[in-house]
Amino acid sequence: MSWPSIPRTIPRWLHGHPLALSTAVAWVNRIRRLLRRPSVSSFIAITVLVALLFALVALANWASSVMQQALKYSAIVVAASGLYAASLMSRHRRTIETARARTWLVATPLASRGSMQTLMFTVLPLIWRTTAAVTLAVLLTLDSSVSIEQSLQLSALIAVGAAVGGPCGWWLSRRPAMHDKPASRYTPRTRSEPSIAPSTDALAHWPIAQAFAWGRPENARLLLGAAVLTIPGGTGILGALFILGTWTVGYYLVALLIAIPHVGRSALQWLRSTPITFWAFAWPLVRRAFLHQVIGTLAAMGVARALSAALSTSMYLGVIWLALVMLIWAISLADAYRERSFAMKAAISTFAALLAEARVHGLGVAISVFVAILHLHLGASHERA
Amino acid sequence: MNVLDVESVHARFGAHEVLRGVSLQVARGEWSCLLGPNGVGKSTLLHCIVGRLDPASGEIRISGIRISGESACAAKRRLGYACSPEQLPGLLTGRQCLEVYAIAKDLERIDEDVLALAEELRFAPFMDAFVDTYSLGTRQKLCVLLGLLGNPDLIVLDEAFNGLDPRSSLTLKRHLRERLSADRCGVLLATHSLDIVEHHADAAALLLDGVVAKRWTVDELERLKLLGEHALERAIAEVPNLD
Repeated sequence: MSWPSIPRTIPRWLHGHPLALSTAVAWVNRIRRLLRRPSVSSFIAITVLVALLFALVALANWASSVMQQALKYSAIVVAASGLYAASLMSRHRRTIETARARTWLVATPLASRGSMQTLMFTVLPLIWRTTAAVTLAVLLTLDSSVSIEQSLQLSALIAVGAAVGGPCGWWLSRRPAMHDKPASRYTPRTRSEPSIAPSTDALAHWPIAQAFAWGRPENARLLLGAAVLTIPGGTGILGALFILGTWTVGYYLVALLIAIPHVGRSALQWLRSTPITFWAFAWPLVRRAFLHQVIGTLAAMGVARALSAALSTSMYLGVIWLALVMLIWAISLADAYRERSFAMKAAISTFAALLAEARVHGLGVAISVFVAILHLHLGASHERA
Repeated sequence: MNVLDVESVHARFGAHEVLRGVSLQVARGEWSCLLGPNGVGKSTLLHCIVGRLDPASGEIRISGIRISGESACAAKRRLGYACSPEQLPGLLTGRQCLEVYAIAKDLERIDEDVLALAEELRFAPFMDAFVDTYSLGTRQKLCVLLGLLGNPDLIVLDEAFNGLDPRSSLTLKRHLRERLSADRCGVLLATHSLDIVEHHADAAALLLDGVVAKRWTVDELERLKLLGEHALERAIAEVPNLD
């Protein structure tokens, strides 16, 4: 039998695994689409190549010192590799189960397909990522300060962590039967009879919900891995928790910073057909998020004080952060309301403010506040058709 | 012989029991419609029938073969299901979708009558375009074509006429009627369109609060037609809620 439109580059044995076959065909099509625009594909390929070479050359010294440190604390490397593998496989299992449950091929006799192939697709992400880490470790031997023995030792540590963590993550993420769980574990239960009245509370909660959604364990696992690696050897349990807490607060503040432009755009797409004014739109959206920013910044300042930073320094950093938050939020909301793109302007303004602050203390803050007020004014005075 | 037997099926999400002992049969050559307000469990029942969800209890058989457990594969060989348009893979072309689906159903080739129907539905010009460029109606046509592949005993359609233009809709109804006349299959269609029930269905069931609250045979549907316009609509409205 022949299937003329299935690309020949796809191996024949994949025909026995239709779900994977469908994914493979989609990938081949995606690449073909990209190749139809040679300028874009060449640009991407050259950029990736240059970035890789640059990273290898520029980071070789730093990486070799990290490797020396990692070999000193081999248990941490195994633990970090295991945690990463566990979170990866846990997420992967959920992705596979969701894909199987929602697939357009659900009514076909998929169940008869080979279990060995299924197993291979299951462990593929872990294998290729472990292989990438090992390859990187071997590539570092190009730098004379890293020996092949050290490289192999690190590779073995990573592989051991992955071999232990992967199956654990897979096993831990097994799902209860459909009738034992609610429709979504992120859907809160209703505590009382909800009242329905005009209110902007939902808008105020939206960016916070978005930041929490981005912070789900499956999304934040890389950050967790990085945070664990920043705990110095010999740190007590309280110290370690303190460091992890600081990372969590920092992550939340950054997520909230990005959430407002993201949510603002979505909210405007939804509300564009209503006669909502700029202030009626912007204030509910930012009021609770800004309160969280202030509380989070105060907490971060407290941490900085606990780490022996001067009060003036921690206050200064806190003020700069809040000024940048105001700047980015004001530009993004005002320009979204005025139906203009804001990403480039927000990036340039932030860079300019930081540059000015580096030259003259207080100048960047003043510029941020000025630009923020200017954009709020532009948003408020924008006449809607 | 029935192509579909649903016996006392219960399904729940957490504490919420969506299906509370649903029983339903579709005979070969019969076009059966599943009616009911939004959120009563029509789609959940269809998901149980096609094997997407495992019911908490009860049994579902397609041409006498259980859809769950070890016989699932054999049952699915006799099943045709038009998935929702949003489930189609956007990065595949229509032709690739048909081919992958045929592979998944262990077919030697794409059925001639499905290709002929594609021509009649004026889907052929879109065959080599990517699914993510399709309109809703074009996607719907592809879903139906996929559901008809492999000459299935039971064809399950969930709001399959939504988004179809009148001409395509009529073409599809005629095609299904031809298959039914030849006793090739039975059709189960979940729909809100009472027009289809009145003019094409051989049986109908109304799902309310997770149970089949009312059934109409072909004779009863014929009698309703004699009562004038909107008779079925009034009959549905008169069925009391079970809560």
